[in-house]
Amino acid sequence: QESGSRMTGLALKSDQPIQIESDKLEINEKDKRAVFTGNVKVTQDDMLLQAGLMTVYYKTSGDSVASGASDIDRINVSNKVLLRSGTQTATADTGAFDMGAQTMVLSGDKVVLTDGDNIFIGCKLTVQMQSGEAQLDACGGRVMIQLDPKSRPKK
Amino acid sequence: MSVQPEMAAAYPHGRSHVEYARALSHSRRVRILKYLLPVLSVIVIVGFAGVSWIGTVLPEGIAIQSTAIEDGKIVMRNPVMTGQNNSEQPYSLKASRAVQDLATPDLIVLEDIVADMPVSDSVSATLTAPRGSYDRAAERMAFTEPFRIETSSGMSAELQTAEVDIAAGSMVSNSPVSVTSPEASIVAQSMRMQDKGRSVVFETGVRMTITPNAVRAAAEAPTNDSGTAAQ
Repeated sequence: QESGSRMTGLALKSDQPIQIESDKLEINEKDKRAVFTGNVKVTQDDMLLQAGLMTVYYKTSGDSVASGASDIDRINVSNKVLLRSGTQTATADTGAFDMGAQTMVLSGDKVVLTDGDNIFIGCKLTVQMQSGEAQLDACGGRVMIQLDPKSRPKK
Repeated sequence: MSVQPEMAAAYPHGRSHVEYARALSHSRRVRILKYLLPVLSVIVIVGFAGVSWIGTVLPEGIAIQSTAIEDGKIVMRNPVMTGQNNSEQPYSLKASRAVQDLATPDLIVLEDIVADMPVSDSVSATLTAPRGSYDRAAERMAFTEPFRIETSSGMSAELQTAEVDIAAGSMVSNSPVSVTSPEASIVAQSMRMQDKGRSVVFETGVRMTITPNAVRAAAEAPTNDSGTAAQ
C-alpha cells in the first residue's frame, strides 16, 4: 500500500544557483567518480539535501572527465540522509539518484516522510525529480501513518 | 499541499512505470545534478594543467636574452623554454628573469612566469606566477606567492601557494584555492592533485556553487533517448 504526495520543492528552479558544501571533495578520473565526504549539503532555494557521503558516478562511455563531456550516470548518498523541500522532510539511510530515469529513491530501515504535522513511515521513498511527485512504499509491511489529530482542539 | 494517502498506487508499476518515467525525461525540465559533471571536470582540468607540461617536459628550445653574473648569482634575462609534451602538443615557459645562485646551483628562481601548456587536445592553459623556484635535483617547483591558471575553456584558478612534484606529476596547495568557470566555482582551504590531474582532492571547507546559467543550460540541453546530452 503506497501513499502518494508531491515534494514540489525538489523540482529544481532553473534560475537559482545550487550550492554544494562538504569537508572534502575527491575527483577521480580513472574510476570516473567524484566523492563528497563529510557534512555534505546540497542546497537550492528551500531545497536541502544532507548526507555524510555523496558519490557522483560518471558514465564510462563518455569522454574523459577532464573534457567534461561524459555525463553523470548516477549519484548515491548515504550516512544519515535528510531531504527537505518546502514543508516536507524525508530522512533515510541511503539515497540513489538515477539520472537516466530521473528518479531518486530514499531507502532504509525507516524512511520517515514528514509533511507539516503528518508523519509517514515506510522503507522506500521514490521521487520523480522533475515533477517532485513522491511515493512512499512499505515494502510488504504497512505504511505507518500518523496524521496530526487536527480535530483535537489546540490547547 | 497536504499528503493524501490514495489507495490506488500513485504510479502504475512495472513496464508502464518505465514508460512513464521515460516520458517524463523527455520533458524539458531541469535535472537535479545533470550539470554537476562539467563543474567537477573543471577541477580536474585545473589539476591537469598544473603539471601536464611539467610532467612531460622535453625542452627543445631554450633561449636566453642575456646572462650576467651579479653578486655570485647567474642572472638570465627573459629565458624562454619551449618544447612539446609526449603527444606533440607545444608548451612554452617564459620568465622575466631566472636567477641561479652559484652556491645552490640546483635551485633556479624564476620571476614573472608565464607558462602555456596543453591540457587536452582541445584545451590549453596558461599559468602566470610572479615567482617560482625550480629545484632541478628534486624536480620540484614551488610557488610561494599567489598565482593563477587560466584555460582556453574559460576556467580560471587562483592558488596562494603550491608545491609541484614534477616527477610524480602531483601538486599540493595547503592554502585557499578558488576555481571558477562559467558554470561553477569551487573554493577550498587546500587542494591536492595526484597522477597528473587524474585525481584531485579538495579539503576543508569545500564549497561549490553551480551558477544559474549552468542550471538553465542543463534544462535546455536536449537529451535524446540514449540519455546523452547534446552539448
